[in-house]
Amino acid sequence: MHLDSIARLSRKVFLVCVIALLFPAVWSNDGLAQEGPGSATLELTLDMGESALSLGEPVYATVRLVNAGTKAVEVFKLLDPQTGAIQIEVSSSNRPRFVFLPLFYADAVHPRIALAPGEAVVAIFPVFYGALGWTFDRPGTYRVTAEYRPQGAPQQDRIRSPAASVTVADEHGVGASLLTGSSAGEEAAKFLLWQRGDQLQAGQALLTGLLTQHPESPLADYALLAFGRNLSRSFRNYAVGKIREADCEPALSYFQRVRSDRLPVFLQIQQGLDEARCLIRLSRPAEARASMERAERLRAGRPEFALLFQQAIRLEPALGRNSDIHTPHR
Amino acid sequence: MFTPPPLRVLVSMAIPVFAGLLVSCVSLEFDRMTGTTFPPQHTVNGQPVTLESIFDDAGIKLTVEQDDTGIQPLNIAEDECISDAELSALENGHRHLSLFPTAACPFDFCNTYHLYGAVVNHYGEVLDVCLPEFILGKMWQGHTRSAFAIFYRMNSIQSGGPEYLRTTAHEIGHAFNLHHSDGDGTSLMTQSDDLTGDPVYRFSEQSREHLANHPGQCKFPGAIGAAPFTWVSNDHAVWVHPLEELTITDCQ
Repeated sequence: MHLDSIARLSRKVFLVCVIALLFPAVWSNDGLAQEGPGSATLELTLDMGESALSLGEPVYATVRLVNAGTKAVEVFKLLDPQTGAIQIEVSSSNRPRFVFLPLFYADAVHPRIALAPGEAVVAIFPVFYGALGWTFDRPGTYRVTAEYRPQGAPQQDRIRSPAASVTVADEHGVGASLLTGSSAGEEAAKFLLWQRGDQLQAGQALLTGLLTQHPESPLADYALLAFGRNLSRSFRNYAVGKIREADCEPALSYFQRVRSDRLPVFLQIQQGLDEARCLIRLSRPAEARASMERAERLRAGRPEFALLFQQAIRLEPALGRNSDIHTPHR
Repeated sequence: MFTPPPLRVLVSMAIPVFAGLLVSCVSLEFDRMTGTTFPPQHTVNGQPVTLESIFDDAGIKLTVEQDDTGIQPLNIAEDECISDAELSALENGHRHLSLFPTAACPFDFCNTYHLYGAVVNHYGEVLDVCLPEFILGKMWQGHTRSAFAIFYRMNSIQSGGPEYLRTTAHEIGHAFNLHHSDGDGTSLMTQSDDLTGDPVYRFSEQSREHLANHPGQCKFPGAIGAAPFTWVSNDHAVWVHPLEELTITDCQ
């Protein structure tokens, strides 16, 4: 090696060392701790809602990542398996351990925020159906854990939630009719998952049959909610190249049949917001306000539901202006 | 006197010959909505870089078949985001059942894998919520890794040719069962927020090793019996993957 190239290399090494020495000082000045070795300050919990479920019943996980430390920590702002920010592991005596794989995998930009001490990031998402099919696909007891991987941390520094237990029973074979592996069953799962999808005709037909045959089953309320939510919003049906406009009268009919108290609070709020949006469209402001107030009561100030309200207001701006709810919209 | 060899001997001799001629290639059926463009060619060191050249550089024959380029965006004024259900409807309505490329794989006896891609003139949705300027792309059909979409409403996609090309190659990389941890700080699978230097338009050595040497079911999108996304061969799993939980499979 020539001397001048050695000199150039030495200068580079020196520069790297200087930057390496300066970096922690700069970092500590802004009070933002990087995840990683210091990630013991982060705590993760998982709540699966009901611990006893029927086969085929939609299941939603609530994950909460808390900064229990004294410095701000950079974390993912949306704890969604779609973005890879959180991973859900499932195991049971009947099925080997597997990682829940969402149907869609998303690449986001600027996905991280600084989480102040004492603050939490919370997210609720469906885990009952994904790219591997039904997650809880047979009766039994399942052990579910959530895992968060701090950016830049070694693999062993992953943060794992305490396990949650879910027991699944097949009540009168209701759910089994969905889990046959047929394309209609798969479509029904997607319709329950997305709560929309005009192209999923076979799945909708299967769920309609289920509503007729087993109107008292837990699954029936999720199906009614899915039908109502689908109709409450316009749908871009690219399969036929047309928009199907929101159809609020039948949407409200479905909502009226839902026994909301059987659903997770998260879904009750969504139902309330969709009802309010539809009632504004139908120029029924007093009822719209009552639905909105019910959704607000269920929210009880919890920040994890803020996105639901933002989305509802985006779709119907009048929901964000209390006075406008009194004014007929159309 | 010449006695012809038995048929089974001829067959056993022919198999290696045909195997040697067998070409594995991936045909990308690429649709887009009106008001969008396809990922533009980018120039690096005076050399043109395209989707095909990026994959060719890693030993993968990718043919990009621009198919339906006039899909009319279905706009809903108050909702700029396309939902997963709507993306699925788009695929149902526009994906061909099969596609045989003509350019890269001219032989009848080639293995052709079919990947569907769409450039949509919308933002993407997450957790049933529209968050503009947040999602660059999505990959789905995760059980076989055979569909993806690019969200053209994103400023960085519309205005940044190189970023657009990089994002598209990145999503196709996911369809090839590559993960963010398979990037090396500047290469294609590194997420844009995690870049440690100027992005390069090539795959990392680790990614190239996967694309070159791992079994077909664990890499090719849409393969029969394909391994789901994040299900990888042992050789792939032993590399450090701090960001993903991988499942080891025999790729059979």
